[in-house]
Amino acid sequence: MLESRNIVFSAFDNAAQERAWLARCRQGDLEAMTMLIERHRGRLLRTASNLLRDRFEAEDVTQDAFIKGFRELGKLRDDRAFSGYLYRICVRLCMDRLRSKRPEVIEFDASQPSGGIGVENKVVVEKLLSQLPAELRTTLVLREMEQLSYEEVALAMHVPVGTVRSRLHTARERFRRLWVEAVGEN
Amino acid sequence: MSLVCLQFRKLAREGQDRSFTEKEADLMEAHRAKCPRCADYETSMVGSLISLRGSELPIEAAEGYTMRVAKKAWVVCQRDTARYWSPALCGAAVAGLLLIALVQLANRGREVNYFRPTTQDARRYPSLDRDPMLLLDHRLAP
Repeated sequence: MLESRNIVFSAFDNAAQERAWLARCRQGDLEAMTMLIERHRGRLLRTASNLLRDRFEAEDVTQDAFIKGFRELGKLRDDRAFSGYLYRICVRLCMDRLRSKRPEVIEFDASQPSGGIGVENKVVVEKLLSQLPAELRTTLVLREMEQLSYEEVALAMHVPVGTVRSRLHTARERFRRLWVEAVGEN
Repeated sequence: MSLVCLQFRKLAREGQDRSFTEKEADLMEAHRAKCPRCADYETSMVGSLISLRGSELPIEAAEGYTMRVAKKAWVVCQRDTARYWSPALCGAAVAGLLLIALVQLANRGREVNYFRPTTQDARRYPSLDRDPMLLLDHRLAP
């Protein structure tokens, strides 16, 4: 009981602290910006690296997302939505990057060992994801790897929930086919 | 592919987002035993998604990342403010005024020493390559 109350108070403190940092950010306070970046960088970096499958590119995109976020802070109506606002910017920037890349056509050697949870698996998944269009890839990653709900995916990608549902269905099916082809199963 | 196969595959996909009802689970179990292709489909669906979920990349940011991003963001935000640009704007305004004054002076330089007689009795040529002379001089010539 006491623990849960502490958690609630801590969340409340965090939210109040974040609002204070945002107010200072609007006045051009470098320290407040640093604190906000420190708080949100983990989540943004994880999402960007899952989407782009490249650590350095993910760092670039996350940096752009923070800069864009702080620059357009005036557009943010509710300070409590800052986290989601940053996240949406990051996802859109990742999608722009993915769109600018051409899908790779890769042939797999079925005799190669793969499919395990390890380095090989990461390489295979990277190759498979690179063959999906940006929209399908983003939907699949946000739902399966980031564990977002349909509504959250829709909000992040700025599309209706129905579109997320249909894209996810297509993405799962395409990814399954590619995976079967890659690991040499039927 | 029969209707039951289609229904099984639809359920196999939906099973990624929700748990099955008892009836659905029975139907899946019965069909799995009957149709090896659908069982393979389900296995590959589950396997591919497990493989995807297990492929997260490590997320260690480079050293000094936070400070670097914060400074960059701070500079960009400062550049957007009027306070940042106001000295430059003032300087540009002063320089512009000076330039206009110089252009005015350069254009009016000839006119400053130009003598305009009010009558036609006498006229002084403005150019320096000729000696000043009176137009009435021809009357004095022999």
